[in-house]
Amino acid sequence: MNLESVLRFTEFLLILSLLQKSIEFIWLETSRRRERAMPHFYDCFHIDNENEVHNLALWKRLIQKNYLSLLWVFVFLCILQIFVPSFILSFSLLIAYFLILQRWQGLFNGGSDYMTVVALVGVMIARWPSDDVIYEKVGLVYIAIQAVLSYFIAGWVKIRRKEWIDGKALRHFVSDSPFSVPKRLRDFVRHRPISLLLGWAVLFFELTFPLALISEPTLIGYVFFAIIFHLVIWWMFGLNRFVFSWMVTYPSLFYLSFLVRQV
Amino acid sequence: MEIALKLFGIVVSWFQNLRVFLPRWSFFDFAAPELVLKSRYRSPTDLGEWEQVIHHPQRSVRSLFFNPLGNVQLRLHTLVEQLVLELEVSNESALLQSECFRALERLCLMHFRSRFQTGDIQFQVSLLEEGKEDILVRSNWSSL
Repeated sequence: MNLESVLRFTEFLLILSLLQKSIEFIWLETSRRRERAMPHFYDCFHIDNENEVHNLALWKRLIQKNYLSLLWVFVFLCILQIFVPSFILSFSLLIAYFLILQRWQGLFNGGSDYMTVVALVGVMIARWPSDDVIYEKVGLVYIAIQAVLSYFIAGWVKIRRKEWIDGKALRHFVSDSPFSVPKRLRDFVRHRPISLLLGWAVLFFELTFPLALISEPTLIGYVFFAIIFHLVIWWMFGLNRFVFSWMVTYPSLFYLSFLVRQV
Repeated sequence: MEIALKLFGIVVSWFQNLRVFLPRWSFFDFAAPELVLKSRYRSPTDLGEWEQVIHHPQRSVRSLFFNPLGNVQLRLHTLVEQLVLELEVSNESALLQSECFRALERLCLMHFRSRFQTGDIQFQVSLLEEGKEDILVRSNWSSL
């Protein structure tokens, strides 16, 4: 397996995911500045009250004031990273992403931000200025291990809860969710046998995910179901950023699987 | 003592800022009751009903690639969840001063400002369980 190709593909998917996020952020900020009439959009993270602005740390004040410029710099860095990937650029992207998140009080979309930072750190390690390929290997393995952990831990935490064992959890998240779950989906999951079956399917998929690494066909199957899984989560709860953030990790999973099979 | 407390505050604040570097891989694990942020206004002549402030947009195929408003609403929802976690470790008066609550209060302020441009209007914020009447947290009345 060509290490450089895997790294380039990971970088390419990461940049696509970062650009997708940037476009959303830029649209939100320009809309706020133009005071475009949007139902139910009130930017409570932008502090304009003089007393509150005064209480903000200087660096947070600077971010708020220069947020749009920061976003454009971020886009520029993303484009540069596609053409001339380097350690400095990936480090700058990581810092810029961290600063962007401060505008939203630390995290914007929880898990998707975690995975984006994991991928940025992994790429940064891989691009360490050295001729030794060990850095590329460590960077990709780091991303892959975090991806495996993300599924396994999510399953492990769920299986310890009674409501996931008896199938009530899925029904609860779909029926009582405030996230405008589509009615057809809501009605479908409301039936107890279906919620029990789907709940256990989720548990099985997440808990057995580490086994995906044992062979390439198994991994292809798991990655296929992972994509379907994230698409369903998006359809249920609107978590679109998760789809792209997790997709970034899939090439590195193939690389880790390759290493596992060689041992 | 005061300096120690201030330093502690700075450390906690930095830890919160840096938490994005410490991934937490648990999603939808705890089927807790859904909490709803509601707000109401009062004017010299009228007392409004409690109304929901955070509304999630309907899904469309386009929202797979472009969902800025939906993502902001998700962020607001996690702010409400964060408030509930803070409620478990602090009392109500400390909670009302928290950064998290102030952001949600600003949200309600904007919500009513978009409706009432002028006049002697006050608003109040509350947090309650979906489908229940018991209010978990209720702020004092604030002016627009």
